[in-house]
Amino acid sequence: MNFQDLLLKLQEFWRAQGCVLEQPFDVEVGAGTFHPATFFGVLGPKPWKVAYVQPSRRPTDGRYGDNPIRMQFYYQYQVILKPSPDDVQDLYLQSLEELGIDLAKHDVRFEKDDWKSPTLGASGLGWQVVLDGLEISQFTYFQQMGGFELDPISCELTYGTERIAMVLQGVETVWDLRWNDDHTYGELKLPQEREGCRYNFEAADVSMLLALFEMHERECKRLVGEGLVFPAYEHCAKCSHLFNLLDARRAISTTERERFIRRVQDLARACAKAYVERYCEQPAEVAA
Amino acid sequence: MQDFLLEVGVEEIPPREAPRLAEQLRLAAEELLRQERLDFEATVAHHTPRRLVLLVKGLAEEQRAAQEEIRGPSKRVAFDEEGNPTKAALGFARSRGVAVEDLVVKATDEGEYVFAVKETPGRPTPEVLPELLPRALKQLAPSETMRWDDSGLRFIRPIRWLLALYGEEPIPFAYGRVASAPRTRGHRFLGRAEIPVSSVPQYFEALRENGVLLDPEERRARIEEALREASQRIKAHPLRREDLLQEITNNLEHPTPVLGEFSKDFLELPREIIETTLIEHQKFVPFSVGEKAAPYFVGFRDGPEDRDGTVRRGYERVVRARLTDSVFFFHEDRKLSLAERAQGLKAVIFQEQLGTIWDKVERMRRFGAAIAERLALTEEEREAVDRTIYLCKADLLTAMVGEFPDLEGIVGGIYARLDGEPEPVWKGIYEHYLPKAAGDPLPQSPTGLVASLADKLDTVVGSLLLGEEPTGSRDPFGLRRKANGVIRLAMEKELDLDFFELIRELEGLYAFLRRREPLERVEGFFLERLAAELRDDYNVAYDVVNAVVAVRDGNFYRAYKRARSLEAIRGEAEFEALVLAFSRVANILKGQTARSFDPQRFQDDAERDLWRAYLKAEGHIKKLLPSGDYDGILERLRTLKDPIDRFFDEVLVMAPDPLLRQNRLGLLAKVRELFLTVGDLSQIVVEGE
Repeated sequence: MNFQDLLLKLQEFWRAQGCVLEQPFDVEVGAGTFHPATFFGVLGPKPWKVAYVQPSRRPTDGRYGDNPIRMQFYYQYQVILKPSPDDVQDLYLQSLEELGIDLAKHDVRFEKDDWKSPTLGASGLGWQVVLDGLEISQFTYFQQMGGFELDPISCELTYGTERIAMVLQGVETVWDLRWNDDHTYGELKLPQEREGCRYNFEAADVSMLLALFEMHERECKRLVGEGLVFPAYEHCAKCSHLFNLLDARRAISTTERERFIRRVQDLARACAKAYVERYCEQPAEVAA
Repeated sequence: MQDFLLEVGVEEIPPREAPRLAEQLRLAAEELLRQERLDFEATVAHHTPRRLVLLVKGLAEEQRAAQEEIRGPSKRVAFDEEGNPTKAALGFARSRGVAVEDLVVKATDEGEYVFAVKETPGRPTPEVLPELLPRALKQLAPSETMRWDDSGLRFIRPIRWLLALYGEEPIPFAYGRVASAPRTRGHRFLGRAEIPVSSVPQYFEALRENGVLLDPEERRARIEEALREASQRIKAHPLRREDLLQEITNNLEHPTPVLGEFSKDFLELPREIIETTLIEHQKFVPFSVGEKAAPYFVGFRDGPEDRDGTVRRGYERVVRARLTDSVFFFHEDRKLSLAERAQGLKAVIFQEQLGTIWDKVERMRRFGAAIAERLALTEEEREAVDRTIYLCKADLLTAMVGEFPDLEGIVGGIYARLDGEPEPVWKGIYEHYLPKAAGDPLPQSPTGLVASLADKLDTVVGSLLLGEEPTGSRDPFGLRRKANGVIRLAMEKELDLDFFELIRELEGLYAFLRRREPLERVEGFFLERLAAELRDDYNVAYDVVNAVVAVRDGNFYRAYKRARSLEAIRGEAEFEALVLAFSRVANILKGQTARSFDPQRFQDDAERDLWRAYLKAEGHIKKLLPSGDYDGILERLRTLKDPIDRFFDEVLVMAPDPLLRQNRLGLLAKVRELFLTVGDLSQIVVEGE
């Protein structure tokens, strides 16, 4: 199965489960969790089902294209089911079968993983799903988001699409994946990956990153004050990514690290609070 | 009498939790069955990642009838002089629902009272269980909990099904939103999704037929057998790490081995790094030939045999990627020597008030020098100790330790070796975290020993001076474990040094702290740990522990020797007599401040006798003390027993003349002091006391 067909299959499967098929968040993020459809969607009481591809940037995970499974840029497929259905594990396994994974032939395991995103003030319990020894998904029952205890509980399924495709195509490295019949993943992405790594690890202008962080932080706070929740949140996401870049440049000492995380977390909490106050507290009014 | 079965179906339980929870369930059930007067023969708990199973063998068909005796008024109030029941008796009988003629009179400590005896007939077991089971489940206490639906229930992971069967009778009950049903589920990929269960024996058969090995011991045996087979095939030894093997056992319902290989090119990596990469990331069992890593591993899949090699190829691909990553870290790290890296520790905070790791290392060097001096290390060894400590924390800045925090020290040791540091230095770095936990091996090198002591002492002393004493389960710096480590090192490496004196000497290192707790807090903490260590890890009787610890000595090795000597004669009649003699001395001195005394003022023979006996014993003991021959010292103390007894029989200590009284108390204080070289014997419990 070509890489692009895998994405289509996932779209089809989750559309059939009644999910809204969203499109990617157009701000640089480290994971699909940062998409407003997840960050805000899991807050409050309203049921919500959504699925989308999210291009994700993880500067410190870059290996200049030398590692077969680690990259600084890749595509997550993200599903949110709120409230979490009783048969969610079966649904997930069914989606793997739909992709063509013979569960009797492969080794599929749910390995304990307590998920935390300190920058988002989020945490949950669940597993990483491991396929033949390779981590292919994150499966989490969210307990908290933006510092809020969640009710109802949402289940988040995050697929590492390249890794699943590698198992399906039986290739040794992500770069050898067939994107479609004519192109490999490497042809499309390897130059970008190598340059991305050089930028993240070597070339990024640290003082500019620091200045930008401060600017976006200020802007986020200002916008929360103005009651502009969604624009404020975009600046919070920016800060998170800038922090990741600074981390990759090793511009942040261990102690400062905690402080930076705290600063982003404060922004995320402020956005979540503003969202809840504005859109969740009085459901009757919103309905009218 | 029939067997009872409970199965709690849970989404994959973390491997460390499953055995704990299964055992908690068993104990909770036993407790509740007893409370409910339901007799049973035995209980057995099983667990897999997807189920907690309780089997109660031979559970009675109904509760034992209960006889309850309720006390009423006293006999005098209940009956008049003619023996007729009074209004009080009638009222009591009515309120308890018994006939007044059925009241009985019984003697109690407070006199004779009237009792109503109530018989509660036993209810049938299937009636009691539906109430009992949710209570048993409520008692399970996982180390972390989550919510998953709107029932408000919290558990380690979502509970998805419940099966309860008494013989062939399904027991209906509900927990949260889940209702029990006579059904179970097979292995995810080897069995049916839903299996009706009609009896307890059929349940066990059905699980086996559906790919679930319920008994953890059976799974473990399969794993061991697989490792033996692989070992013979590839002529290499598996690394049998208990925690890893347990995790595999607890994590799979049907463990099936998959033997894989990786390229010999990766063997350029140090063995420990290969092993850790395989274990930490993949839970695979590494192999070795002699001292070297072998290019093989065994992973365990949860499912059928991997006939066409699909899983093996997958495992090998991931191992290749992981080892590639380790090679990447290794080459990145090797760009700087440890010595070059050490400077970077100035930017790493150890603890807000205690400063950077660099500051910590500086203090450790002072500790190291002081310890090395006391242990009379050679000049060369002292230099190696200092170099070891200077470099030992530098690996915290390596990418490898960033990836595998458990390899701290080990990575530093390996890199130091590759940097060309001398063997005592790299070995010392390699070992300086040991022992990390109870039961860990100890450093073999003197450099590792001193660095380990210096590291632990600095953390414990610094934190305690800050007032960061552990409370209950809160011990973020692991101070208890670290103090235990110091004590174990002292005892087992036979370090004849007074740690309290050492700490007093170096207290100035912490003078920069704005507010400091008194040093007694530090000593008190160590003594508490000393007591715990002697009691729990060396099985010393608690009264001997008390006797040893009471003298507040910071020489832990000697404390251990004193404990051993006391243990050896504890319970001997002659020793007990000595204890009693000493206790008389100790008791009369309680609350007294004894001053000096003058042998010229002795009046009685018994006084002079005791003084002579004291002098003789003291002379011997002085000679025995340096070598720590406490058996010999106790032997000498025994010679004081008769003189002490005679002294108390013949001399009035509390003489009316204050001078005389002081003189006598002064003599006894001397005697007490001599005893305290071994311990406060008045803490020893004597039979019949």
